[in-house]
Amino acid sequence: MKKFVVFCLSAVFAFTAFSFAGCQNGGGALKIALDLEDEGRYDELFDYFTETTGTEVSATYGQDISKLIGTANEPDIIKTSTVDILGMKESFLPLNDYIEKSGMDTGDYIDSVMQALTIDGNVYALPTSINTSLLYYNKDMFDESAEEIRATLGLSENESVYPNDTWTWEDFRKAGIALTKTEGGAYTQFGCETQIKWWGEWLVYVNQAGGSFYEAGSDNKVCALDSPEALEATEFFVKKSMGDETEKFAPNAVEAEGGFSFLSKKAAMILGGHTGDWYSYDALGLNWDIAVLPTPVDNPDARGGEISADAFGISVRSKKPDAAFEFLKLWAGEEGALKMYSYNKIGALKNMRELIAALPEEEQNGRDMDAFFAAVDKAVTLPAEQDFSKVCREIAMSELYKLFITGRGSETDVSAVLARIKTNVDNYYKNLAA
Amino acid sequence: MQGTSKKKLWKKDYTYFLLFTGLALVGFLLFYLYPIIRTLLLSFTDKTIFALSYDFKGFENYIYALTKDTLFWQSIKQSFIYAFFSGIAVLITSMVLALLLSSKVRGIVFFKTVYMLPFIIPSFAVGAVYKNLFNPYNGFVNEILRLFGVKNLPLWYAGPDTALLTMIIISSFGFGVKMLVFLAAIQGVSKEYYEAAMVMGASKWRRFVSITLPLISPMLFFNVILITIDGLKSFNLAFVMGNGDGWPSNSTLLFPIYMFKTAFNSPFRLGYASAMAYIFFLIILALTGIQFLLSRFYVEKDVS
Repeated sequence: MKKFVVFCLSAVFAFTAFSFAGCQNGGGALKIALDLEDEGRYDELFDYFTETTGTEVSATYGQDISKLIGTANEPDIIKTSTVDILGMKESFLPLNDYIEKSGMDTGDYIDSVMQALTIDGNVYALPTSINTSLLYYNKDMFDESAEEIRATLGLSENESVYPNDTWTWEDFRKAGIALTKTEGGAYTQFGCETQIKWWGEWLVYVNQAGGSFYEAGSDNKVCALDSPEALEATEFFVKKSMGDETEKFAPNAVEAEGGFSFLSKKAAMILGGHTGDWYSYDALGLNWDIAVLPTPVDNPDARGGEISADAFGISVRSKKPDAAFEFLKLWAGEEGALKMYSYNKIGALKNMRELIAALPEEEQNGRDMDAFFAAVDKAVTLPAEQDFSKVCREIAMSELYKLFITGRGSETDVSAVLARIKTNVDNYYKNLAA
Repeated sequence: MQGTSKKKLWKKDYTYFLLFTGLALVGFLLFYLYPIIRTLLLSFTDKTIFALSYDFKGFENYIYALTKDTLFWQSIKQSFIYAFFSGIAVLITSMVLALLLSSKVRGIVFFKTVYMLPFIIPSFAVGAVYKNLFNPYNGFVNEILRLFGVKNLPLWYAGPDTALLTMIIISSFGFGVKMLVFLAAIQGVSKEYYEAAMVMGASKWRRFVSITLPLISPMLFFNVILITIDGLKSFNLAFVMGNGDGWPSNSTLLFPIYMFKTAFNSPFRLGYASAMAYIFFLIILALTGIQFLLSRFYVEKDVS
């Protein structure tokens, strides 16, 4: 009996001990948590780091970082972004001393990105790749509709039908309509995709039209969506999906559920987009390229869309901050940026354009990177406000969505919807302050 | 002497008790009790997930949720609507199916297996399948409605006014365990009652109302509690249907989704989400208390 009791107690103890042991991970290796789609992409960089420093890097993929914080599995290097840094900064070690000691120059990075990652003079993370709003287009679909596009844009036989940096919203609309096809009264393809589940497309138009989400000088607490610029931009965005046949070239909310997307080759363009999707476009064999954003008519110098960056910082609880910084320095530096370029990650270094141009042709990705960097030059960062993404998703996009459906629950008055968004956003901040 | 042996016996029993419950007890203390207490403490702070330090804020989080946060009340309201209507639907479907499965027909085992299948498939997968069926553009349901000449086809999960209704319809197929509970209860009712009722000329409906229902009422009560709590803490289906964001237009924003978003999406307000969790806990507790009170009116105490 005694033996049985001892056995049972040992089993309970062993189970508990193993449970806790399972929480420990990585041993002496530097821990990093990456996105699921990043699996395998960083192996070369990890190997290179291990070869040069002797420190191993242990990566986990697809784990939500917010659930790893404070656990034994918390990574040494934590992913953030120019959008999330405000809400996450307390978990990051300020990097100023490390930067100074290493002789790094943060001036090598795109200014707006570095500004977003610097709070009260402290640099909390280094940018590893950037995203900016672009006009993505499917070359095959443009080629198939070349005749109609030429006719509507008044192009000669020698001129390219692909989007270029002279395009205005009107050219975008005309080409979009030419690319929209129907069969037996039903749509078979659209000129452009509609992004109504996040702000990526809509806010581009607002920025380009000269509007903004928050009022200037309000410390990002007062909504500015009641401006004529925001109205003009939102009307363009809505008519693109809900207008008559002279205006519509994108799916509405219901049609979007029918799979009319750029990825499924049933939409010829996507405005805004994300560099994170490039990998999927290639994997699905899309013949695609990028162009700078079309500008509002009569305003070729309009602001661009948004620029954001994935960035990584060092956990305040890391026991290997020196090694972690060495890895960050490598990753965010020229060597790391070039290694990651083959995986469609575009570094945030100012000289990235030259670095890519110097690569052998077979190592360049074949995209119009001049257009990419031209878009970066015109792009603006998102508001530095930690509730911005929450407010945008829960208040703005949820109201805007009603403009993209018909029947019950739908809305048609754009200015009324924008006024309601403003009221709700303003009330949100008033309540928060109270 | 007898006292000593009693003490020994008690000690022996206690040792066995600890041996058999030890593992579960460790699990309970670590994974339930500790989080419950920690959540309560956090609910009085302004803790965010990424913050190292936090301040004690008293009842500020509770007051904000109760007086200022419109989405909190919207999510509570939607959770209650969802729990109430899906609860009734599940109760009816599970009861009807249990009655059908308790009948003696050929191939009943096959049907029992088929009806249990949705229960063993992960709810995320079930949600994804139903999302395809209810696709407003080219889903099976709207194709059928189109065949019948319906002009204004419902938007289902894509419409702010219909998304919650779609979730309720889908959830009514989540009868799994509840159906088994009813089935076991129905099969436990003695045949003699039915035989006596038949001799007296009672109709099927009369037999159901006067014999089956009163005799399975304790299980009915158990299922009502289970279904109410399941409905109020429903997460997976709403997560799939609303893309984890309460989409469209916050119409599928059930309370657990809102709480999850508040804690784990930017700006990661863990303390506030904890306060919301406790308010909701108190609401569920009150509701369960009311159900216990109401049970006096429909639960048969002596089913022997």
